[in-house]
Amino acid sequence: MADINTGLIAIGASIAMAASALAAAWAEKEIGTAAVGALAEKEQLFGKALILTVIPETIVIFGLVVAILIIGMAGKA
Amino acid sequence: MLKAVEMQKVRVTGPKLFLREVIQALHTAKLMHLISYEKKDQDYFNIGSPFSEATDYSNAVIETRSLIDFFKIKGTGKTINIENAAGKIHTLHKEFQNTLKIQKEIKDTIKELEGKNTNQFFETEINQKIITQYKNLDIFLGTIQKPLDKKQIEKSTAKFELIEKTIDKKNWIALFADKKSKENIQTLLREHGFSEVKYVHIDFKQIEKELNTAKKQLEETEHTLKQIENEKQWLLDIEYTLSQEIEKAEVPLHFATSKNSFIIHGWIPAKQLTEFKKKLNTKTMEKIYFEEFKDTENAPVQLNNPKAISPFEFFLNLYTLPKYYELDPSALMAFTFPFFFGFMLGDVGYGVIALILFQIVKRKFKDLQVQAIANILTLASIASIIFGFVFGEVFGEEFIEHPLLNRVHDINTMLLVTIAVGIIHLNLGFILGFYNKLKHHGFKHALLEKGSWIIIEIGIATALLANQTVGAIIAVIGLIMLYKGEGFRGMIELPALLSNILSYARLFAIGLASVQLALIVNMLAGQALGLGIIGYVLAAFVILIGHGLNLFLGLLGPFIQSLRLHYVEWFSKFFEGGGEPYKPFGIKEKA
Repeated sequence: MADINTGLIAIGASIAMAASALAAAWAEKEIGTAAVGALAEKEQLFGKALILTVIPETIVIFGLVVAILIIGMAGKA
Repeated sequence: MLKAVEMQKVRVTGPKLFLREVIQALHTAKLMHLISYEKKDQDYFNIGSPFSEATDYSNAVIETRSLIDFFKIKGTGKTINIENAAGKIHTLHKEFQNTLKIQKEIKDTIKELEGKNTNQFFETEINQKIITQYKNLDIFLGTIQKPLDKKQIEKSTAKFELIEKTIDKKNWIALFADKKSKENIQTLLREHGFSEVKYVHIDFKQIEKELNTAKKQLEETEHTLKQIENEKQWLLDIEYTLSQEIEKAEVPLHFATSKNSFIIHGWIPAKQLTEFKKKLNTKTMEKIYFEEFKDTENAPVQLNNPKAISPFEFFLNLYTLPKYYELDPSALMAFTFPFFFGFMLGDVGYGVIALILFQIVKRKFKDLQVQAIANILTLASIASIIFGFVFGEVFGEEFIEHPLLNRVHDINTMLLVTIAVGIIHLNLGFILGFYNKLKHHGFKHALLEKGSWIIIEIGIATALLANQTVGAIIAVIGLIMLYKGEGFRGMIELPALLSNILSYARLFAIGLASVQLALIVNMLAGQALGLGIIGYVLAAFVILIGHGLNLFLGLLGPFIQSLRLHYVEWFSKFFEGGGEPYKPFGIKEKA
């Protein structure tokens, strides 16, 4: 039976994941809208539009790394 | 490989007398990328003017294209003799337009005649003589929406006569009823959606006759159109030949001309230069003068890769071509892209299915871009199978007891591995950037702008792994160099180094999510199996949908993420882009 501390650690890790994922989604929504608008005007911009759109994805990776660190630290404690 | 095709800037000067011959020779050679002459105020030379036939040809080609569009003709044309073609096209187009106009008129007539003809009811069902004025009877002629029952009418009036007939899904009635019960009848008919039709005497035979004539005329116009359509191949040939001729007739707009001479600037692939000169000289009896220039500023870019690597040029075409002096990273991407893709998908089962899928795509679709993507993804699928063995996974399940690396359990190791991959990949980028700067701006710039990053990295590594003071000193030296090279902007980009490296953690993050999804699908299917016979069906369903969906995500995600690692993290270390594609005169641009 897992104790309350394990649960709190899990919640902490999931907040790190969820918040960063929401942030990335929000940012990508804003960029994606503009990018699709630009693409409608000029199709050759696809490569550049793709790059700009996916830039915020790194935020989720940071969230994941932090989540792993939280779980790792909990293992030591 | 790695470098674009070598280009030579040339200038061709000659008397205007030979202009047509030179243009014809350039057009057949299909080698010269033209540089347009831009006139400045005090220049002696003028921009050349197009040959007089350009206007006629342009008009003819527009008419030809309108015919091709109308008949939806598909195919490719070849060069044919176009003497008098412009006139013939013009006549044909006029005939076509006239036919369309006549056709429209006939169609209108037919519509009008058919409208009159709908009143068949009056002709076939009623003796027309009985429709007249009566002292004691009302006549209701028209259509109703709901069928009428005689018993319903009996309730409204005692004396009546009803004729009913359904023609073309419409219920026609003629009701003769006692004048005294007019109001009752009207209410009843209103309830049944009655709409009155005025009786007009029509000579149906005459209409029928006119209708037949019109229909015959319509057939004739169709025949004329068919005849025009039968000229299919000729139209395509004319379109092709005329566009080529227009290109030739309008090309003097790129040249500098004086009263009696012309000058053409352009780029020729260095290897074909001698051959090109020989061709031009024989055509013009050596009356033209060649000059060659050393400078390669703004040279057009023609990527130069062996066949196995050329599909990866697709990624550069999608983004932007490298500048002429820059390295062409296609050859390196041919290794790193499948590596990243395979690392993320990393499953023998998915890899094999993807491999079969893309082989089918490759055989079915002959489009060049689709071929390129299919080739790239074939390599990527093979990489996925190899990584599948490294991770020991088939459809998410472990099939090797102790694989080299386990994506579900060795999370920390995987994180370190991906970061190591990131550091190697980024430094490869810095080295490429060093080379680009060295070639274009010299050693000092290369060392300060790109080498400084590597020195900073060495400093940080030394500080972390060996001696902190020594490491810090090296890092500070690197920082000072960076500041000298890139100024304040370099300092701002410093934290980006960390985020760029961490970004490679996606290599395992995407894979982990994919494995977990596969495991959940397997678990659900396993639970379904316990339900007896229905369970087997259910399990098959879950496996098919679940793994299908996961495979779709597993192809889409790694493709975009791998591309992104190249475009965002890697390219920013060395790639400028913005090269002008090599488009030799005489090769038709794709519309």
